[in-house]
Amino acid sequence: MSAIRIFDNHQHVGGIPGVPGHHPSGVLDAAQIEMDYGVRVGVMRALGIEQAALMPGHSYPRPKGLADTRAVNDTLLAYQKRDPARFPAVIGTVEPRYGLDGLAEIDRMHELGFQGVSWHHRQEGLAIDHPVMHAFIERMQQRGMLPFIHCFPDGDFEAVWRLRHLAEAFPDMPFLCMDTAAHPEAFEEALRAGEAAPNIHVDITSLGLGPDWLRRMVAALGSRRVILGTNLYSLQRPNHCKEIDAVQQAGFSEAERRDILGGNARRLLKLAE
Amino acid sequence: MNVFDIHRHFAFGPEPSGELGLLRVPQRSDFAGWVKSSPDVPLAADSRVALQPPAYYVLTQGLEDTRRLNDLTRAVADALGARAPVVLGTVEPHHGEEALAEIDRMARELRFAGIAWRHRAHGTFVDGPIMSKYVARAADRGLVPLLHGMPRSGNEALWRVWRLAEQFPSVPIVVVGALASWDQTQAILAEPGRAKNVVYDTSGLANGPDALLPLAERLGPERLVFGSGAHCDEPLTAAQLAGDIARSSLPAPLQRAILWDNAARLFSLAPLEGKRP
Repeated sequence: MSAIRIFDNHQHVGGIPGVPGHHPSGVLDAAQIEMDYGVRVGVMRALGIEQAALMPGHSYPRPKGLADTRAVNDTLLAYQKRDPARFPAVIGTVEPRYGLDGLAEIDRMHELGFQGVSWHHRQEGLAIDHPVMHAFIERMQQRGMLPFIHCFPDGDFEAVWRLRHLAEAFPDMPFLCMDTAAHPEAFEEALRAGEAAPNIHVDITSLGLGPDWLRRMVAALGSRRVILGTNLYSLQRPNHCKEIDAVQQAGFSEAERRDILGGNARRLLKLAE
Repeated sequence: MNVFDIHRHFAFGPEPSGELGLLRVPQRSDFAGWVKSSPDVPLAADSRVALQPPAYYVLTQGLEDTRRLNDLTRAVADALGARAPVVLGTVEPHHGEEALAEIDRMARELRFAGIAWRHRAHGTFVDGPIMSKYVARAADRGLVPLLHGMPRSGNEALWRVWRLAEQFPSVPIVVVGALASWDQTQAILAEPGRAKNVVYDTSGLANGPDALLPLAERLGPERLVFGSGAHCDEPLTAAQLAGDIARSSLPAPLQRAILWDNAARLFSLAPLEGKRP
C-alpha cells in the first residue's frame, strides 16, 4: 500500500495580535506571501505534510469593514495561486457583523473558487447560531461550500452546543467542528454533538489529550468523521506535530489512518485523492 | 429616592428586532425620523440614565458605521434631554488605531462623558493590546471607560478586566454585568485588592440586593453603582431593579450611594432639582 499523503485541514494565514511571533495582519503583499510561503513549506516538509487548506486568521484589523475582509480573502487566493498543488483548498471568511451584506462576499468567494468559509466566532462578535449565520449557511449550501467552524474551549459565542444547533438546522450539509480537542470538556461536548448530528465532522487540532482520547473519538464518530488539523499560523516553526504523532500512535488500521490524515478532508473538499 | 442607571442601552428604534437581531444604523439624514418613531422612554421623574448604544449593529462599512452609531447616540440622547445627562459612545477594537480619532471626536464634538465596550460583541479580548491605547486616550480626553464583564465570557473574563484596569490605577473604570453570577461575585470578594479603580454595577445581580452588603464591606461602598442593563424601552424593568434595592434591608446610606451618589461623583452630576439626592 502506498504511503499516506497527509493533508492538513487547518492552517491560518495571518496571526493573532499580541501573540509573539504572529503576523499582525491578514493582508500580505507579494513579498510577505513569499516569505510566509517559505517558512510554511519548510515546516510542512519537516512534518511530512503534503497538502493543506488555507484559511485566514480571524483577528485581522477591519476599520474599512467588508473592504478589509475582501482584501484578506484576496490575500488567501494569491497565496494559493503561488502553489495550488500544495494548497488545493482555500477557505475564506466573512464577518457575521456585516449582516446580510455578507452574502455578496460568499457569492464572490464561490465565484473565485473558494471551497469553504471559516469562522472563529469569539473573534467576530456574534454567536455561531445567530440568525445571520443561518442566512450565511443557507447561501453556502446553495453554493456547495463547506463551513469551517472553530469551537475553542471557553469561547462562549463558539460553544459546541451552538454549532450543534446550527448543524441540526441544515442536516444535509457537512460542518467542520474545530479546536475542541484542546480540552476534555469541549472534547466531550464535540463527541456528544457529533453523535447527535451526523453531519458534524470533528478536527483534532490542538490535540493535547493524546492517542487514548483520539481512540475514543474514532470509537464514537467513526474514522470517516475525524480530520487532521495542525492550527499552523503564519511564521510559526513547530518542529513536531502532536496531532500526527497521536494518529500514528493510536493503533488505528491503515484505512483509519488514511481517513484521518487526509482522506476525509479531500473527500469533503471534493479534491482528488 | 433618586436613581441613576449607569447601564442603559437604547434599542433598535422603529424596528425592534432589527435586521436579524442587528441594528442597521440609519443614514444621518434619517436620524430625526428614526428617533421620532422610536418608543418613548417614560422614566420616573427622579430617574436619570447614562445612555449607551446597542452593542450589536451592522459593521459593513467599518469605522464609518461606528461613527454613525455615535452620532445616532447623540441624537437619541438629545431627544431624551435631561433624562440622559450622561452619554457614552463606543469604538470597535478591530478598528485598531484608526479609532483613536473617534475617541477624540466623542469628547470634543459629541460631548460624551464616557466610552462603553462590549468585548463579547466586538469579538476581541478586554485586555487586547489596543485597549491599553484606547483607555489611555479616553482618560486623556476625560472620558470614563465602561467595560462589560459578563461571567462565562472568555472575551470579558474578570482576570482580563482586572489586567487592563490595573494598568490605569488612577482612572475610574466602570465594569457592568460582572456580578451576574455567584461564582464571579465570590471571585471579586476573594480579591478585594485587585483593580481598586473598578466600580461594579448591579446589572444581572445574582442573589438579589443582599449580595451587595458583603461587597460594600469588602470593597468599599463607593465601588458599587446601580445599573439595570435594560434597554430604554424597558423602563419598568429598571424601575423594578432599583425598587428592589430601595426596599432591601441594605442600610439607607448604602442604598443612596449605590442608587445615586457614587455615579453622581463619577460623572459630576448636579443634584436633581427639588429632589433630595
